[in-house]
Amino acid sequence: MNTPLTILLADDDPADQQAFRWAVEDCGENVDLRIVSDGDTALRYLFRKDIYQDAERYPQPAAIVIDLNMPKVSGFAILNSLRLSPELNAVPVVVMSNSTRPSDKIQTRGLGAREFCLKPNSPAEYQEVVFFVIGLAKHYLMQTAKAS
Amino acid sequence: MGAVDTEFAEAKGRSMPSKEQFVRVLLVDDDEDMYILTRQLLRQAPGTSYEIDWVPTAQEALDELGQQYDIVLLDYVLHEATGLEVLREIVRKRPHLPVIILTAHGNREIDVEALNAGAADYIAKSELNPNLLDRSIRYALERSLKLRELEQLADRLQVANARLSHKNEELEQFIYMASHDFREPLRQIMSFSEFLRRDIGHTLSGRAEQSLNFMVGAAKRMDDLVEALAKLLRASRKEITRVRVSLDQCVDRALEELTERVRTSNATIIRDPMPHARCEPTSMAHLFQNLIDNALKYCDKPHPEIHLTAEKGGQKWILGVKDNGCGIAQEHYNKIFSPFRRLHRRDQCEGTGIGLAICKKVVEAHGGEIWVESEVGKGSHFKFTLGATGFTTNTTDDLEETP
Repeated sequence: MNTPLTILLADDDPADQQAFRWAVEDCGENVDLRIVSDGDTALRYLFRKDIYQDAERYPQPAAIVIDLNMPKVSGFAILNSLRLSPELNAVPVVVMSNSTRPSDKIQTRGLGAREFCLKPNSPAEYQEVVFFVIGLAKHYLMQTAKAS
Repeated sequence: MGAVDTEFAEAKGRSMPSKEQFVRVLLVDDDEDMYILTRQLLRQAPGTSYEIDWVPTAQEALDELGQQYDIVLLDYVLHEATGLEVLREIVRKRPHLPVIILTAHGNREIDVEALNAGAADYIAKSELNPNLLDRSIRYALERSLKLRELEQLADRLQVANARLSHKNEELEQFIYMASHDFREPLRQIMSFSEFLRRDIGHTLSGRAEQSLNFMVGAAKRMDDLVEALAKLLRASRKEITRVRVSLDQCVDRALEELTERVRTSNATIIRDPMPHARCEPTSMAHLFQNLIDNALKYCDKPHPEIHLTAEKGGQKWILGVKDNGCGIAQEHYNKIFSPFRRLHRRDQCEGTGIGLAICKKVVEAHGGEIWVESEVGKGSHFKFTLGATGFTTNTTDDLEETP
């Protein structure tokens, strides 16, 4: 069996977490989904702080999905930290938000997000997002394999 | 009201309450004779009672300003400083205290300079007499009072304005919340109902399946209502920017959006040539779109006929959308423009009941009126105007102009 694709989801809404989890379970791919409920934890995970130092137990994600409005640290701040990190700035990030402000879309793209999508309305839409994210993750792993 | 002896007034002191008031005058002049003369003149003044204090130097005058004087008489030439400098200092310290300049010789240059520096009036000493002085003081006081009232009004206006813009911000936040946070749980209800249907749908009884459908339907409707509410609120607070456009273009845009609906409903659209108007093109296109959409929605004939009308009455145009639909009874004429009022059962006609309310907001934002003329069974004619500035005289002018 191939090694699982690690995907990190940062979203503070338990219902959205569950829906995303189910969509991952249903996608038929070997995905190791990690979920954090706020931006601060997301940053500690990604930058290996505190308990997240152990790379075996907390593997670096091949793709990241973030909500914009989260407690403590916003999605924008996460995007900015990732952008400035030489190790992580190539990891694809998808923003999943219910914001319809055009400025949010433009700003997140400016901060390096690969895609800005509205929060899904149905299982089918969740499925689409999950497949899209998996595609990005696979591409990222291919690129890093080539580079090394 | 008779003249009150100034000595008596002085004895009573400045703390005297302000009803049967003395006008308290401060004279700034290095010549004591002037004080004696002025006191004499004021005592002779008809009607008003004056109480006068005298200081000979500018410094003393500025020191005395803390005291409650109603008006200052200021000699133009003092020994150590010109009256203008003192005047500017007084105006700076006590902007509401009127100052009348007294000069030895009348001089138009000084006159203009003094007025520019904030003097209330200007009198040549040679012309002084009780009536002139009394009138000059009373006029100056009256002006100063009016000015203060005006300033208070301006302050109140500023406060009201700040409050209004704060309310506006709150409303903006509420609208954003309504269109996002309120819809979030509904989105989840719809989403999870679908998960439920997918996971156990095949095992559901007929009733359970129906319950699920009603739940999803209700959530969807709530979602539509919340969205409609946000739209309405946005339309009602929108400030329009008028641009000169051909309304034909607005109609084009509206019909483009409705292409599919017009085709499937087998409708015929008849278009009067539209005039140019000063309006907001996007709102105007939405207005036409809403009215045409309404006409299609409430048509019970197999072949809907929609006539986009433009009649000119004098300088004003009356525009409209006329249909051959089911018509509206007169008692409903006003009701239909209120938000969330529906004349039809939900199973007969979908919609949130917000369309015409938004139309009304758009028309009102343009300073116009909207109304309906209708005959039950035959059809309705929705008509609107665009306000006094909606139409310019030269309607053949094709140029667009920026606001």
